[in-house]
Amino acid sequence: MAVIHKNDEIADGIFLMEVELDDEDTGKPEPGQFYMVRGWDRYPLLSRPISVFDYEELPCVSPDGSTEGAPVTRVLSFLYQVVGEGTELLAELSEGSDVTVEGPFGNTFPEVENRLTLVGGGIGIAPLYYLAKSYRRDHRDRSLKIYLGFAEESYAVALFEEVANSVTVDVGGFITDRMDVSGYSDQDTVVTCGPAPMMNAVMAKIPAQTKTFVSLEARMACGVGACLGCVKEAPLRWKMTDEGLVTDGSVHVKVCSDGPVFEREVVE
Amino acid sequence: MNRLAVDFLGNHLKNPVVMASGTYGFGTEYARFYDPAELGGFSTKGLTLEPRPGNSGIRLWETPSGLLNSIGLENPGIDDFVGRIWPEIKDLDTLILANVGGKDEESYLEAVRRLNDIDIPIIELNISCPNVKAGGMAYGMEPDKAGEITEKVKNVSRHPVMVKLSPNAGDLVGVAKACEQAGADALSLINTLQGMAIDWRTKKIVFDNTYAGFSGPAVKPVALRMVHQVCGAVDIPVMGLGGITTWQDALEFMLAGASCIQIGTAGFADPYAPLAVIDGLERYCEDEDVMLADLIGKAVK
Repeated sequence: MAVIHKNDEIADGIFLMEVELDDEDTGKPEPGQFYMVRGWDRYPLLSRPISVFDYEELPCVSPDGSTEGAPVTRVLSFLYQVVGEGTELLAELSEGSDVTVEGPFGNTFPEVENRLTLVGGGIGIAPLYYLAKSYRRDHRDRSLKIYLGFAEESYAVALFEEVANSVTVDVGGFITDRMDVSGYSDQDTVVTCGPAPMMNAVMAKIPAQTKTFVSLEARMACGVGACLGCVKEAPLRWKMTDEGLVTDGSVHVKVCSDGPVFEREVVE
Repeated sequence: MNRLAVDFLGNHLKNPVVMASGTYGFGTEYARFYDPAELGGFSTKGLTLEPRPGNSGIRLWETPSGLLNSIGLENPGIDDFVGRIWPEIKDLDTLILANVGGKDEESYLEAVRRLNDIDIPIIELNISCPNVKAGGMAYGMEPDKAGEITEKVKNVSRHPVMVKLSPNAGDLVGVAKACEQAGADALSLINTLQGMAIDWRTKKIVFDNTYAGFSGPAVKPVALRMVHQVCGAVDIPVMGLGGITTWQDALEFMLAGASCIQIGTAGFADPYAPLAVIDGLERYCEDEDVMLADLIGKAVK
């Protein structure tokens, strides 16, 4: 279980929900992972897969002002768009309401040692913020360029600006038109999440020697690789493991447990 | 005292709660939540002789209290199961059923023959998958055909065979009796009801395969009626399933005559659903001071 701290509409149909995790068993997320979220009992039937926008462990301050040895408050944030029945119900929840949060599930974004570029489109920016923040924490002096494209209005941009060297925002156009990838090499890594046409345009634009990762979304029932409802065709039949890409003989990749993060070669 | 223990085809189950085929992977996917040994058992994802990629397009569609699926028996094939998966799961302290599908008679029989190489306790013969074009449900629609495939499978299998029945058969009781006469050791029902979805926004049929399998709490009263009918018509044991979500649901299926129950879709909504069912049944039996097995068929006897 988790308790909602805030659930604010930050743009038309776009909500930022912060929940406090009060269950020790709910693990700490890595960038790229998601949770199965439900804010209701029996109906709708399924929980909703929502990616991690942010995660913080805040020390509780004791009455004398010290934080030493104090337990931490674990705050998990979701940035989500109202697209149907489940997210409509989530949007109606107010501060103090309980939500069920199972996870984290799925694989993670890769450890990036070199320069990082993030390209997000619409609500696809959601999983990129926690990655950006983690990258900045680990690599204070490295280059982090962020491109954010929106159809009608921008949101959450200021948060990205706090951690990036540059943030380029486009509203109503094609974010890929704003990208200058001349000079991109194997010393760059690109991560993209957004509508399929945008991700395809990103993949087409980035030179082959630059590692490029995509984060996918899919309808899911279980979130753990059991129902096979979320599979995507993977023509090369590759699977990401700790040892890198290997074939595993399966024709499909499961977005929930093989992904949601894939090297572009898997899905291109 | 374990008040939930049941026997099923000579197997001792610590409780009658079995996870349904297609909802529990191969037994390891949910191990992050709890030890599968807490379950009475589970049935594997449907296995076929050859690996199958499953269906294209949208595979899931949520409905009021229900779920349409069109997975299409995606699985790694029987050899991968026998050679790779079975060694990994065989020591789980729970009853494992191998669910077997097929596109034609020979593919059923060869898959079953290859399972003779391992000590799988029970084969769940799937003649009821609504999501494949060839085979699948076609074998479960008429008594003659169901009896014929059951008999042939029984002839080549060294393992007990539980036939999984389709609620889409016109004469379900006839199919059940035919399977019993052909030598089936047990029956499980119901597989999913055939349904469909049309997206009014796009004006298109949702599933590439047009029709899909319907499951979830919405089907429970239909499933309960069918389990009741079949239990009244055959003498072999029955595993009842279809929309079971709570311990009360599970108890109702057993009162209707099922020796065990399976949980499917409910496990998607709440991974801990089977444990809640087990806990609920335990508390009930404790409060009522009864052994669960004594309640099997109680509503009809």
